[in-house]
Order: sequence, then C-alpha cells, then structure tokens
Amino acid sequence: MKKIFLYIGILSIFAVSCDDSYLETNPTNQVTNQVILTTIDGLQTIFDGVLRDMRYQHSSMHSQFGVKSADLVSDLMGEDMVVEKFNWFGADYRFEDHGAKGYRSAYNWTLFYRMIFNLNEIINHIDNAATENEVQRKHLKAQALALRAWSYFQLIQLYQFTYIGNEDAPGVPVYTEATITGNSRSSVSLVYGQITDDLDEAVLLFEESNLSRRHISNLNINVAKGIYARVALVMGEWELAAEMALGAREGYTVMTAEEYSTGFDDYTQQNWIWGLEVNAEQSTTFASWVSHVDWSVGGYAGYGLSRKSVSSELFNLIADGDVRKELIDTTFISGTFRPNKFLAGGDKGFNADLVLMRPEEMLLIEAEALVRLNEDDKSQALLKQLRDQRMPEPVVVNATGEPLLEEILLERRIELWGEGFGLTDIKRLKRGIDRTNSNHKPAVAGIMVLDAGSPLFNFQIPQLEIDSNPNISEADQNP
Amino acid sequence: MLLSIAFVGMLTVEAQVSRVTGTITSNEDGNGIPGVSVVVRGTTLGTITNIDGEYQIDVPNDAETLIFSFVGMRTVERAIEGSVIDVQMETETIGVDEVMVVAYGTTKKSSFTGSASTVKGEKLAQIQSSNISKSLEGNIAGVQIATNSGQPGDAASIIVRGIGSISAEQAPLIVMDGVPYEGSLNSVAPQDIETLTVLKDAAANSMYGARGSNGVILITTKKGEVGRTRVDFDAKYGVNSRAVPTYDIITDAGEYYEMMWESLRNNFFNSGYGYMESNYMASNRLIDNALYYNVYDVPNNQVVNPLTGKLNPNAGERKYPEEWTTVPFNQGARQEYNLNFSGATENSSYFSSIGYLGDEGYIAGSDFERISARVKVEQNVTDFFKVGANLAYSETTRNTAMNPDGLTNYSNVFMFSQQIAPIYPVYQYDMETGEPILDENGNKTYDFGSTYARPWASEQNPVSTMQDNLNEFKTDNISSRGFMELTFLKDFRFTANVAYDVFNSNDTEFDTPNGGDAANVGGRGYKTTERYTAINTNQLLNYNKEFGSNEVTLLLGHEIKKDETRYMLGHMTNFVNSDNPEFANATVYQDLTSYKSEYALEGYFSRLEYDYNDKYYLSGSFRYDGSSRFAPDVRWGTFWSVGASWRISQEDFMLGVDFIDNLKLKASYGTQGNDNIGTWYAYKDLYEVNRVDGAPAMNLKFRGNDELTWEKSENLNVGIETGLFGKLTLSADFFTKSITDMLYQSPLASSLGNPSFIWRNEMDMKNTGFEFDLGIEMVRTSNVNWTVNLNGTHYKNELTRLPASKDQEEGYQAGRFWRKIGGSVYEYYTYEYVGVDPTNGLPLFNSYTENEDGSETVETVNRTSDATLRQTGKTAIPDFYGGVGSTLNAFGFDFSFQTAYQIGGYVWDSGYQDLMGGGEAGNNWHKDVFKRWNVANTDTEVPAVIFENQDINGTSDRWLTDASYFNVRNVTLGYTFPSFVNDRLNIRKLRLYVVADNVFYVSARKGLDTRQNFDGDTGFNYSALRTVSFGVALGL
Repeated sequence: MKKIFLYIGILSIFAVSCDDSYLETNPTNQVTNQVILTTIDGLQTIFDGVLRDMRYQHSSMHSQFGVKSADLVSDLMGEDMVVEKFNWFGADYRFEDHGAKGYRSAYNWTLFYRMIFNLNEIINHIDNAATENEVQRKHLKAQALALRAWSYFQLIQLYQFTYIGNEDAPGVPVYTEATITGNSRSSVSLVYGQITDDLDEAVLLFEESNLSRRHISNLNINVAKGIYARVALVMGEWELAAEMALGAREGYTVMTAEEYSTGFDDYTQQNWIWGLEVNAEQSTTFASWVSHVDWSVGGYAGYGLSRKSVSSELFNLIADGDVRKELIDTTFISGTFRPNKFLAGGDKGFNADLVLMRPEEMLLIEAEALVRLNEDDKSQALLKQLRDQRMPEPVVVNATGEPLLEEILLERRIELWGEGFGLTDIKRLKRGIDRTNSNHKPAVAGIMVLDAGSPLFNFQIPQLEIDSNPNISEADQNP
Repeated sequence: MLLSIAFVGMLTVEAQVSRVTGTITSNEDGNGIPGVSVVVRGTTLGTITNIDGEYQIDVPNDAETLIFSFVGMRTVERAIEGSVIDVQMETETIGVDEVMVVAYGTTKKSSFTGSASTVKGEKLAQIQSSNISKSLEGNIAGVQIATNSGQPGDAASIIVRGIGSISAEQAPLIVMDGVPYEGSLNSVAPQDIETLTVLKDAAANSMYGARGSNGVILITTKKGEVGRTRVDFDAKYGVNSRAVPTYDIITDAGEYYEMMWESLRNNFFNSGYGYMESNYMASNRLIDNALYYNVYDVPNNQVVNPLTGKLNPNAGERKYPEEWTTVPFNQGARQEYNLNFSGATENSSYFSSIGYLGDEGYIAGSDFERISARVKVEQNVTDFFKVGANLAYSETTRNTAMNPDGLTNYSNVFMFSQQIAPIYPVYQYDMETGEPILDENGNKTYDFGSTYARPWASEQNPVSTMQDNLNEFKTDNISSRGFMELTFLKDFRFTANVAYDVFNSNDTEFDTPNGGDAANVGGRGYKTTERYTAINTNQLLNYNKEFGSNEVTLLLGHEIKKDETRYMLGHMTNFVNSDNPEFANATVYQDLTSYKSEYALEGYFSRLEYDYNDKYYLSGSFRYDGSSRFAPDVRWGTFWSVGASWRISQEDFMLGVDFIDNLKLKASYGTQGNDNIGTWYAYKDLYEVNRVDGAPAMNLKFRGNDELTWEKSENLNVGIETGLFGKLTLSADFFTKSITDMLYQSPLASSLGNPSFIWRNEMDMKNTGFEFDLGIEMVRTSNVNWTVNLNGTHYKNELTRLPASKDQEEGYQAGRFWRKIGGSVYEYYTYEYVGVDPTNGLPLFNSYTENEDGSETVETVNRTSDATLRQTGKTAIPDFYGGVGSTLNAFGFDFSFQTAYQIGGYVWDSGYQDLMGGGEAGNNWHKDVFKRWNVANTDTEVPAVIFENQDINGTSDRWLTDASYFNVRNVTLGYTFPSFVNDRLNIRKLRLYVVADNVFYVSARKGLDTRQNFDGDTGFNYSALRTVSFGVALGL
C-alpha cells in the first residue's frame, strides 16, 4: 500500500516538470528585431528613433545631449565663444578632451556612429521591406541616405583636417551595413565619396517621391541639398555649392530682424529649414543646449555655473545698430558679453527647439561660392539681402574680391554665432585661432593661440575603438 | 545505544566501586533533563538520567572524571569528588554535533563535507541595523561587506570569497526557509531569525548550482520548541548620531578668506601682474568678484590685508554663524519593539511574532519604518504526514534624503556641507546687519544664494530641499511558504515546498517647486508602482538507510521558479500646492509608461551522501538547470560537486589523545553557475519603444547574443575543523574559486553603434585564499564564562583570461583600472604624482616617452594632460579582513563586543581630492591645504593654491589611500535578573541592556569611509549610523 507513495513521489517530480514553453519569456516594454525590420512602417520607427536620439541625453554627464552638444563643442573650440568659468565643456574649451581617452572624442564618435548603425539597418532592409506605398519607401530611403551622409560629414570634419590637401589622409571607418566587426579607417576622399554618393541618391529619391515631410525634424529635398551645399563648400566645388545652397533655400526667405530677435527657441516662429522640436516630456533640462548657453533659463548659464559669452573681439567687429549686436548685453554683469540670441526664458524654457539649418546659412554659402567664382555682383546682392534684414537702414555692399570674401566670412561668424560652425569653419579655412585680444581668460581657456595645423584641432580616435576594433591600432591614431 | 551503555554499566557492578548520585538541570529553566548520558572517562561505564534528571552510577575507585553529555547541550566534565555531583547544563553554542541547515534539508555538522558558517539569530538581533545585510560586517570568515549608504533601510553589498563577477551580479543567493527569496533583507525582522548560514564552497552550495556561484545565504526562521509556551518581548529605544566624522575641513571664516586671497593672488601673479598689484587685486576682488559674502563687519576690500595676506585684525565677531556643519544633522531616534509567542506539542508547533521598527537616521527625510508579522505552524497530521506553513507580512517605508547614485549632486547634504566654504549660511541673513531674514510668519528662510549671488551651487540648498522633497519607498512584503512531508516505506521521505512571495511597492519621488533642481518647472514628481512576484516550488524525494556502519542518503529533486514584474511609472511637473506630491495636484503631464517582464528557471537535481561509521563521509551532487535568460540551445547547464571528510578524532588511534576533542579534515570540488546579468532577455535584440514628434520611435537598447550561457565557478575547498583542550575551536579553509566564461559586457568598437557592448562569456578569473574562524573559551566557571572569537580572510584575485578583442600580453585599460593576465580586476591605472616643483609650487606628474630602442625616458610635467597614465600595481582588494569579538557572562551580567577590520587595499579618495583644489569661489578646503607650497614653505607635498587651476588636484595616484580600517561594530552590556527574582515575578526571564553600534571607526584619513564599494570608489555617502539604545527583554 505504502509503495504507492513512492510511485506518486517519483512521478510527481517529473509530472510537475514543465514543457519547453515554460522557459520562453518575452518582454513587453521592448520589441524584438524580427518584428520591425521587415516592414516600411517598422523601419520608419527606427528612423524616428534616430531622430529621437539626436536630442537625447546619453549619459549622466550634463555635456552629452545629442548633436547640439557636438555643435556647442565646435564653437567652444573656436575663438568667438568665451567660457566664464570651468564646468561641463570646460575641457572642450581648453582643448583637453580631444585625446583618445577624452570623453568628448568618445562621445562624438559614438553619437554619429550610433546613428549610422541604425540608418544602415534601414538602408539594408528597406528594399525588401513590405509596403503598399512605393513612394513611402523612396521617401524613407532618401531620408536615411541623406542623414547617413550628414553623420559621416560630421565625423570626418571632427576626426581629420579638411578635405582639400588631405584627400589621402586616413579618414574614418565607413560602414554601409549594420555589422559587429570593425572596419579600418578609409581615406578622406573615400569618405567624401560615400557622402556624395549618398547625397546624389537621396536627392534623386526625394525628387521621385515628392512627399512633403511630416515634421521639421525630418529631412526633405531642401535639407538634403543644404547638406550637399555644406559638403561642396568644404570640397571646394563652388558651382555645386552655390547650386545646392540655392536649392536648399528654395521656398524660404531671410528672417527679419524682428524674427531674429524671437529667441531661436521655437521653430514655428522662425524660418528654419531643419530643426529638432523639443517638448516638455523629452526635454533634457540641465543637460541641454539652453541650459549651457541661455542665461535667462536657470541652467548652467542661468545659474552662473558656466556662462558662455560672445568674445569681445567679435562684439567690436559688429556694426552699431546691427540687431545681432543689440542682442548682446554688456550691462548684465560688467565685463561680460551676454548673448541674448538664444533667449528661451520667456517662452519655451528648457523645452527650446534646436536649430540645425537656416536659409541664411545657405545664402552665405551661396555668396561665398559666388565670390570664389568671381561673380562678385551676385555675391554682393546676396550679402545685402541678408544685412538689410539685420540693420536699421538698408546697407551698401561694395567690396569685391578678397575683401568681399572676408566680409562674408565675418558675416558667417556674426550671423551663425553659437550654431556650431566654429571649429568646422576654422578647419575649412585653415586659419587657426587667436584668443588673446579678447575677453578669453587664460586661466579658464588654457590655450590662447593655435596654428592652423595644430593636431589639437583633430579629435583622436577613441581608445575604446582601438581597444575593440582589430582593424584599427595605435599606429592608425591621429597625432 | 544509550540503553546498551546503561546495560554495560550494570554488568560491571562487581568491581571495586563507589556510588555517585546527582541531578542534571538546565541552566535556562532549572528543570531536570531526562536522558543525559553519564560516562566514566576512559571507560565504557555509564548510565542515563531518569525523567527528573536524576542519576546514580557506580564508579571504579581509580576513575577520575565523569562526562555528562546530551544532544544540544554543552558536554560537561567533572572530577569525581564526593558522592553527589549536580550539574547545570547549558545549551550548546559552539559544540561539535550541531544540526545545521544546508541546501534542501539539515545535516549533522560532524558529517558535513562542505564549508559553511552560521550566525545565530540572537547575534543578528543585537545589532541595530535596519537591514541584516549590514549586520554581517566582521562576523563571518570569507564574507566581505561594502556599505554604500548608511541610510536606515539601505542594504550593504555582500560578496563571498572574493570578487565573483565583473559585469554580472556578484551578490549571494538568499534562501529563506528552503526557498530563494528575492526581496530586500530590510523586510525581515532579525528577531524572527533562528540562524543565518553562509554556504561557501562547492559541496555546500552546489545544490543551488544554477545560481550558487556567488555563495548562498540560508536564513531559517524560528519555530516553536516542545515545552511550555513562551512569550518574549523585547524593546529598545535609542538615538542615532554620525559614526564617520567629516573630513578635517576649514571651519574658520578667516582662514578661508586668507586662503582664497592667496589663491586669487597667485593666479593674478601667474597671469603676469606684478607682485604688489596682484596682492591689491586679490584684496579688492576677494568679496566683490569672487566670494560675495562677507561675514565680518569690515569693508569688503579690507577683509584681507593686501600687504600681509592676513585677516584684518578688526574682523572680530561673525555677523552670522557657521551653520552648514551643524544644522543639517540631528540626532534622530531609533525604536524597536518585538513580541513573539511560540510553543509546541509532540505533534504541532507554532511561532508567531509582531514587530515594529522606526529609525529616523540623523538627517531629515531619511527615516525607515517597518511593521512586521509572522506566523509559522507545523503539524503532524498522521505519523507519516506532516504539513507546515510560514506566512510573513511586513510593510516597509523608506524615505531617502539622498540617492546613493547621486553622491555628487548638490542635493547631497553630506557633500554640500563639507564642500561649501564656511562663510555661507544655511538661512538667509541681511549682509549689512547680520540679522536673519524672516518670512511673514516669523520663520527663518533658506538661503539659495540668490540674493547675494553665492558663486558655489547657486540656487541650491539641500537642507531646504530635504525638508520639502519627498523620496518615499513603501513596500508590502508578503512572503508565504508552505510544505508537506510524507514519510513512507520506512526509509523514504517526500517533501513538496511551495513559496509565493509578493512585493508591492509604491514609490513617490517629489522635487519641491520652492527651490533647487525643479523650481524651474514648478516641481517635479514621479510615481512608481511595482508588483514583483516570485513563485517557487520544489519536490524532494529523500531516501535514507543504514546498513550496519554504513549510512546512505539519496535526494532527488525538481524545482521550478517564475518571477514576474509589473511596473508602472508616471511623471508630472508643475504642482499647484507646493507640499502636495500627488498627481491630482499637478498640471503638466510628462510621461506615463508600464511594462511586464518574466523570468523562469527549472532545475533537476540529486545528491548522494555516504557515511561510514561516523568517520568517513562522501557526498556528491548533480544539478541540471535551464534559465529563460539564455537561448533554447544553450539554456541548460550542468553543475556538480564531490566532497569528502574524515573525522580523525573518531579513529581508534586517537583515543588516547586527550587534548583533541574533535578533528576533521574535509575537501570538496565542484561547479556552480550564475545567470544574473540584470536583463531577463539576454539572447534577443531588443528595441525600446519611444516617441518623437508625435510618432512612435524605436531605439536599439540591447544586442542579444544567442550563444550566451551560464557563467561557471569551479570551487576547491580544503579545510580542517578542530576542537582542542575543550577550550578552543578552529576551522580553517583553503579555497580557490575559478570563474570561467564570465558573463561580461564585452565592449564593441565604438564605430559599430549602440549599445556599445554585447554580453559574451569571455573572461576568466581566479580567487585563491584562506579563511579561519577561531573560538576560544578564556574562562569557564559556574558563574563566569568568557569567550573570544576571531576570524580572518585573505584572498588574491587574478585574471586568467581577457576578452578576445584585447591585447593578451599587455592587458588593457578599463576605466580607472588596468586589466592584465595575472593582475587583479581592480588594479588602478592613473597618473603618477611626483610632488611639488619647489620653484613655483606647481604639481609634478611623470610623463614617459618611449625611445626607439624601447627604453623609456621620464620627465616631470605640470599638467595631467601632458602626463602618462601608468599601472600602479595598487589594487582595491584588501589583503586581509575579518572581525574580532568577545562575550563575557558573569554573575548575571553580560558584556560583548564585535569588531571588524580590514588590512590593505586602496580606495580612491575623491572627496579629499575635491577639497584639495587650487581654489574655486565658494568651495572649501581640507586643512591639509595649510601645508601648501609658498615662498616660505617650498619643501612640501601640497601644491600652491592657484585660483581655478584644474591641475592642482589633478587626477593621479596622490588620491589612492590605504583602505585599512578598524570598526567597533557593536558593544552590548546587559544584566539578567537571577531566577529567584523571576520566580517572585512569575516570569521566565528579565534582562536590561545597553547596546551601541558603530562606536568607533578609524581609517587612514579622518572623514574617509573606506568600506563603500568593492572597487575602491568612495564618495560623500550617507555616513554609517552610530546608535546607542537602552533595552528590555522580558520572557514569560
């Protein structure tokens, strides 16, 4: 009789055993890849994920908040933006974070390569993804290609000197497929080749699809041409640059002085070609563009932990009456040049939108390209078109040749201050920096003068890359 | 057996004998103990006591000693003098034949082949931490504790026998009453605990093979004992203070002004101004351009004399007091009450308890409260069928004034109060008159630095935000355990255990709109609810048979487990009423999300034990487990162990060796696993659903690896257990723990996008060490009993395989560490600080350049950006750690203490680094800055102070500080009233006591707590609590 218990006991050990599905569990807050790589709608969500990532705080460090932190660094490594006190970004300003072990070289690198990885997933899968709308397929592919080109363009400008004269220098690794094996550095010309190939295809696909974009943060044919104009300007392809710049600003007008003064915080109030909207839910608060740059919001600039000023040298170069000079407050704290260009305090606060491309920049690219093509008349007219909107009275532009080029380049510094063109213009123009005759403080700035060829202008390949990529070694490192 | 001894006794009456009689009583209740064996030493003569504890025995005239023994009581030896020998026996504490709790059952300690240490519940209950993980410090050989936060309710991290893993979890598995427990230990009242056992080697924990790699902690709760009903009540009340003091910071305003003046002056001078010009500029700007707050009644530009650099002699009384080192810290109260009833009959037993703990910590908003209840019942239904249930509920409420992850935030008052210069007040004062600025109700107002532009941490005041912010974590912990046990066919036993644990937590995080980080958005609130459930069932079939001198025990088992989390988070801003944290009071929606996730585990196991004549023991176990974390093909892992022990003292040839009471050798080898990597879905690529610009957005959050499988540790243990002279017990073990296929977050080339790592099984590591536990009975008389215990552990950690992508020869940098084969996992890699340049006071660091012939040239540089990172050879892992304790019982008084110590190892003293800078407006200094370089003091290790110069305290090995420490963990003094008082009051027991925790702590630098993290990281953490309480224990 009692034997029966033995049998029950032994049986129960196995009877309670579970079938295989017991150990199959699935998350509900995340989605596995099979679901989203097979349809255009799924790939679209990955693309939107990339757009989200461009304005995301990636670490607990308050200096890593997406593409605008890279833009801020670009200006801090120039001569027109002054740091009042060491804090976040202080090491960037002092050129101390560009090394292999620097946070910034690692962050910029991963920021753009992260975008490239996801864009490659889209580009690799898009031709076979299911959709009932072929136009949508083309439109998404065009956006992915243009954004990939932009990402490589950002990288190559940070990790090597400019295109002209350095075509054969080592550039950055190029991936056109999402993979987990690292590639070696491609030459600068190969990287630019990839960029222009992507842009050519993107422009073509945009023309074929002719869909209007869903949101200011998405790319369209204007944005693709605008990126192309920037690339062509660096490559010295002046005609192409002028043509693309003109195409990029098609449908856009130069902002009036009044619009210019609304604070660069709301894309609906200003005439941007491309920008990123920020909302309350996704604002990165202290770790944000406005926190560091806008003195009117209670962030790093507002609390005085790390204010960014306009350099007094640039201030003095701006004509009196120019709205852009009016927007610099020298009385707030004596000795400081408070920029009110990015004044978000009254409106959006920490939720300020982020500008990536404006028609004024395109106009200046076109003007610069034209003067380099010796078409001074057209160039003068463009410059006047812009300056008439910045000065109280219409202006006369009569310089020609080299002086006209210098006027246009100065105009870029004034018009685009704080928008991320500091380092890239310095490298493109091979000019170096001189912070001495200005309000830069040696104790905070560390470095006051740099020659155009200084290796400090190039970020080094991050150590993590060298450590984990079998195809890049110490010998491949930038000096 | 005992009967046969009695029988032998009767047969030997014929010899020349005398008769001895007596009564054996228990020291606990004075009652006679039946069944005690009484044996004449060196013979087989003996008898047992009758029902009243009385005995009589005829002993040969040449006999000298009688031995009285009883299972569970301490064996007593008495010289034969006179014809009446009465003995009072005590409950065994460090005896040999203890029954101990092991995996899926109990065993005799003598037969155990593994390595395990047990702490009694009483000892845990004596220590006043709100989380028993903190009570283990210094108590158990081989167990190392790191305490990141002294905040009441916060846990300590525990590792067993060294660093267990790099990327995966290294905490031991916690098993409560036979089933894994996933909740926080702060939900368990220590008074409910009978024993806590740490299983350390393969033989001990391989039955928890799948998850036992990091060691296993078995907690057994109390149950009723046969005898009369017992009621115990314990109450204690005390106060908290700070156990680790602040750093030795400047507290005098004048000293701070002078130092800041010098810092400014040096900066101007180095920027090219003349010497006197620099002096005057420093005096003129000290207040008006740098510090803004003048505590003295002298003009701002005359606080420091520009000619001497000294404080103006007219600067007398401060206008307002120094507040930051005192105001935030209050002596909070701690109170704990516990009531339990227990009892048992032959067929049933019960234990029930209710308890309350309230601990206020010693800063506002850091209190912890626990209300707990437990009922445990066991019943023999028939002679072969037994059932039991154990139900526990506790509500824990934890308020955290600071987040242990946010030690560098301005909301951290421990950082803030030490870093802020002693010239800034907590409350607002009128800078002209020094009068406090009051609000309309006449209350003091907090100084956020807005009015007078405090340069350091402007708009921040952690005392205010601590008062107004809320970080409340409320959890219902419901733990239910049930079992049934069938005994059949004489040798078989079948047990089924079911456990269902539910943890419901409801957390509120609220940042006040009144000031601080969330002032701007009108206040910020997060609400989190989480329901975590863990179901665990196992079925065990046990076979036990004796064949003559052979005993065989076989266990077969099956176990399944399923954990589930349901989570919901809401986030809102803009709160209308500034002291109401509820969402009904908020106007701006920020975020709302929820998810559910699951984890499942299944295992089959068996264990075979063999015992020959209580002398030789063998054990072997095998376990086969599957985890839902891994892909189906690689999900199952096999784990096994073998062990053997030899009780030499039972051998015939040891019979004459009197001084050895017990001697056992043991050895074991086996494997355990670890699958605990944080995520429950390791093999799938996972995208997080996000949203942007009104559309769904996906971000790759996790790269799956479908080859990822169990991390395994192979453990070797060789040990000895011995008892000598009846006074000394020693257990010592040598161990190696080799962790292979370590679960490692393998970094990918950064150009491959994000996430930047993929989990791989790709590193190996080895810990080699020894540990010992020594107990000494210093004095033992009928009225005085004094024991001392001592334990220590040494181990060496060594990497034996690096990730495939790394340079195997040279090793690689991993953050602050350098990892190479043969080196330890936490070996520092940093700049070398050489000292101070005597000519200019700048710091010197080594810079190495490699020459073409491979040799190196060293030069010194002033900036870390020009210096070279070097391997220091210094590691965060201590050379030796352990504890010393002692207990003295005399004439009703009891006195005990427990200490913990650590020798060697290095921590990174970043707090000290922050306080030794070149000068930042409003940032304080450590008093070591008085040794700084200046023209009068050029031979020093401390660089000059130069305003805002980042290299003065640049990162280097200068901040690596010896991690040795000594801590008096607990001191207790008590008095137990004698039995005649008890009889008169009709009670069983009455004891009054005073108990103090963390009485004394010393480390290499005052203010530095070296116990914070296993990797040597330190910060301005919530310092450990010193608690002094008075208590009463009453037993009926």
